[in-house]
Amino acid sequence: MNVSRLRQLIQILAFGLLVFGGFINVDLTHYLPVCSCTFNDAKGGSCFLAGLQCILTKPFDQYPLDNWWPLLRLTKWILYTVLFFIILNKAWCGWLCPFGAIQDWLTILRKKSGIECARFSWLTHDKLKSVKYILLFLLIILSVGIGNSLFGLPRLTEDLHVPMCQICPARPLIPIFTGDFSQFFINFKSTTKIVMSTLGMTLLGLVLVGSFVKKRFWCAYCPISAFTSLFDNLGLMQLKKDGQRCTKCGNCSRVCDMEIREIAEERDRENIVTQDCMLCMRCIEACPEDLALKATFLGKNVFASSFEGFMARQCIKAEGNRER
Amino acid sequence: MGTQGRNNRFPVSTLMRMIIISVSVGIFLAMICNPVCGEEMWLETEGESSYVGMERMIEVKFGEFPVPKNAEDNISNTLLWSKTGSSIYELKLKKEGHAYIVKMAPKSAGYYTVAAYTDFGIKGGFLTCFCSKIEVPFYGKGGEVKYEPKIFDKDRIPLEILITTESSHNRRYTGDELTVRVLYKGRPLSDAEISLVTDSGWTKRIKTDADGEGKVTLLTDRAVLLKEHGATKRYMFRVDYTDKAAGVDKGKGYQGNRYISTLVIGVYSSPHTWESSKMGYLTVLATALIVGLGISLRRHLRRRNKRLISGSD
Amino acid sequence: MKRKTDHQPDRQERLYPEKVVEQTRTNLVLAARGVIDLLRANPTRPKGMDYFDKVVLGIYQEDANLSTGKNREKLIGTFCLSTPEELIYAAGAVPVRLGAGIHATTPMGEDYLPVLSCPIVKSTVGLFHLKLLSVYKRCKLVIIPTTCDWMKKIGEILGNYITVWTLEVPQVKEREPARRHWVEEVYGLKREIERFTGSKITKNRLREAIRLIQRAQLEFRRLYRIRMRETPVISGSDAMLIMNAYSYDEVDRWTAAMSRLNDELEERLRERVSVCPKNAPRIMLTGSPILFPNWKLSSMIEEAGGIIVCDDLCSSNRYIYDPIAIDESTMPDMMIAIAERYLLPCTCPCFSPNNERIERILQMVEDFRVTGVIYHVLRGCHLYDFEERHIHEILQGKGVPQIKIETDYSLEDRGQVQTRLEAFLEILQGKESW
Repeated sequence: MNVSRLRQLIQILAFGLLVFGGFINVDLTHYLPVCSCTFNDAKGGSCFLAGLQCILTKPFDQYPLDNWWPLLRLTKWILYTVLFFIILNKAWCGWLCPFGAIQDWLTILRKKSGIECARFSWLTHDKLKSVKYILLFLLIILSVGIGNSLFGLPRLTEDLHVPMCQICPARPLIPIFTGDFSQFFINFKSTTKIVMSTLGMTLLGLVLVGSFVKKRFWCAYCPISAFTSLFDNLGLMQLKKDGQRCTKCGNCSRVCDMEIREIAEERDRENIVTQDCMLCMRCIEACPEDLALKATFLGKNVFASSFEGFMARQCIKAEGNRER
Repeated sequence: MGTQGRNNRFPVSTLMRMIIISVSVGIFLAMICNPVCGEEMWLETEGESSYVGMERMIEVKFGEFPVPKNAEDNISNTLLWSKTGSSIYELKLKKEGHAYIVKMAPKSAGYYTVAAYTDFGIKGGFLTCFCSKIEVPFYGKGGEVKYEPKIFDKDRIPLEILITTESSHNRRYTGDELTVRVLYKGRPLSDAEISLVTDSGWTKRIKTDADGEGKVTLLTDRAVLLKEHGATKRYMFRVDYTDKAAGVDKGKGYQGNRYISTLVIGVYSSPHTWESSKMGYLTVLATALIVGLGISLRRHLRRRNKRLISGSD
Repeated sequence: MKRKTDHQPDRQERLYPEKVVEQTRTNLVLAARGVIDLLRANPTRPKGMDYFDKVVLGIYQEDANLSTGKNREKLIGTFCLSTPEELIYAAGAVPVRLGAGIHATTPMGEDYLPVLSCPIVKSTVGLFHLKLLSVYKRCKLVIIPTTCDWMKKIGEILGNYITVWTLEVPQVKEREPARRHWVEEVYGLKREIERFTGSKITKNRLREAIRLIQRAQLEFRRLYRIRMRETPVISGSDAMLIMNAYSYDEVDRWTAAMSRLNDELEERLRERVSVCPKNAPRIMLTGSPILFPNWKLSSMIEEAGGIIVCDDLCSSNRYIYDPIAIDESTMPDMMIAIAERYLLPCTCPCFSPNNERIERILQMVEDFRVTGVIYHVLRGCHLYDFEERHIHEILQGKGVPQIKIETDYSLEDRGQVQTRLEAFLEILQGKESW
């Protein structure tokens, strides 16, 4: 089974549904753990961060009902997102994210033009892992700081509203597909706005070029990934490894888009979905040992590595009379 | 000239002296005279949209927009109404401290217009009266909340300013082009001068055409906004009309009726005013170019170094 | 480290008279023929083995049909498993593994080497010195990886006879600088091969070469799977011969013959044709490499009643076990793929730590249902000797007995080894019958 082809197809379908779904009144809620931008008017479902930031902005003492009302809304939002996430675990990132799809298409473009891909050294890669957690922390803290006074400091300016959305590179990029170019701007209203919008535009330029030379450049820094990776142990879909069957040939981490080394290096742990993993299953496709790497759903093998499959994907067939 | 004494330090001829004196007297008179323009009554309200169940406070102000003067006793005779759809309700004016306010808390949602009318008696030889309007949409359960350009009431408000342009989300934004109509006793008034004043002092004057309509564009110039005015909040339309119907009121004669009508609207800063698309595209392209060139350069240098070290590629 | 071929005929004449050289030649041909005859004596031997017999004998009888077709003119010698053969095929040359198992030439090697040295290097040096086999003479370039100590130093001696290119293999694989260094080494090797053959390795040719070898790996895995089954349709000695033949043959011809053999073996599986009695203990052979014609140990094991179902020898099972995964067809990507394949899964004890080998042995014990492990150590091979104890303990934990056989190429200790093997096999048979 050529999982890569299947994944490309599903990415196109999910892209169509999430980016153009609004035209046919599809609404898959706004709790989705993928980068489907909420600024796109024709969206079929949107990323949960926008709503999360809005809720966090509400002052905790505003509602006359109960003091824990904002907390309840927050819990509900997070709960729905986590429930969505748990069904497919990180496969949301690899199979359904429209922004991920765009990056994969840029990679296809690069492959066709014969340009080699860029890789980070191990040290750089490890150091950059914390960026997405920093972004997640900042977006929470800044949103809370707008509506409430933190540590006795004055409330932050309203211009910082939805801080992640202001710098997110998906915001200008995804509405383009429905003909809306209005998200490309630098806002001169105040210093905060100038800084945030410039950051956003710069990040977009960086991500466009970065995704061209490095596979899935943005995914290593996405705060959605940071948030959802906290729950990846609960996912119904998992990636499992049999340490004894592994020959440590390193094929898996070499083909991994996210340059995860744990797939090859891990010996003892069975569950190897790491914070960067997007369950694209390229590692399983590249593994030549039978049952060394498996993707499971509710404990049952959905896709396991095999030597025959490996050779078939490398387009090698056995010679002789018999077809395998 | 040098032979003349110290008494003649400023050698001005007699004619010049006459001119100077008369001009000064004219200015002095103009200042002390009751101003024909520059005074109006307007309504103000705080905050954004209201919801059914919440109470809204509207204040009646008199003076030179946006600077109020001490409310004169005439204000206490102001009649106020609110209209939604086609029903008109009376509102009661209250005095709180130095301010004259009216509170409204309607039970059903809808687009409410509040209008005020005050008789000021004879001022400067004319029987002066002030009209004012303000729009207060109430959201919630009940009627539809949408701006409809309809005349308030030709009897209660003789001189009325009406914006005939539809609004988006019941808001006016900087950069919007509005069509304003002036109605006198229910009929369009041509050749009336409408002045548009912002609370930061920017003024614009337009004249109505034969249909009583004039077009005006709310401030768009970003430079003006940035440097001088910041985010403008309140705009006031003002029309001053005097007719020639002479008469007698309370024993005093007057040459005509003077109506001063205002309409106060809140204007929101259109985000597009502050946004520069060109800069956005430029930043994206510049970053992409710099990063792309950087990567290509690095690869080229690395290959060149390899070639130097090993002698071949 | 390139040295000019420094031909010194006087040296040979001075030390070894013509008679001795001729005698050695006769001995080695006899040794080769003897092994093949012994193997052929088995009536249940698969017919497809004929091709591989011819290939191996061809080297010794000087009628090898090597590198005569498809524009493959040059021979490049290799040692161990660390040389990426894809590069050699991509440049239009043929790799030949030069490690020799000939007892007759070891005394000549001893003139140059310490007494307690590995018999492989003694044999090989002797062979080069005597210039006996044409295959060895036709190799003008040999690639020597710095795996074990013997390999490191043999290059210096062989430099007298042939151009040597030293390939530095990092001994600690886990670190990034080591891996980057290895990739640079492979690039350096690529340039050397291009210089030597005079033809450029383009990405298309490299991809084709990778595909060629992938086909061979596919056929090899078929054999591997066949040997996992309950019925032993091929003896271990034959299987090891096939892999030794791979060293001396061109890969596409080998693949075709292998495919035919696999078909025959699968036929045998269906018909349940076995090469040994039913309860023969399933043996795994591990340790120092066993190179043709040093078939002493494997023949003895199978004569004593055991059947070698799998092995962990770099001369046979480890040779082309791991395939390369081509991801993107760009030169850097393929080069990194090749480099990593030849470094990372390698179970040679020259690497430290060598956990890969333990995992492989445990997995093979499980897959092949091995009843006993015979650990073969060549006298002088310290690295394999070093690891023997550790592996013994681990296998004891799994309940698999292991015996260490330390020997060399000479036939003097046949009796001793025979006795020990028979005793071991009895224990295994006893265990099985429980």
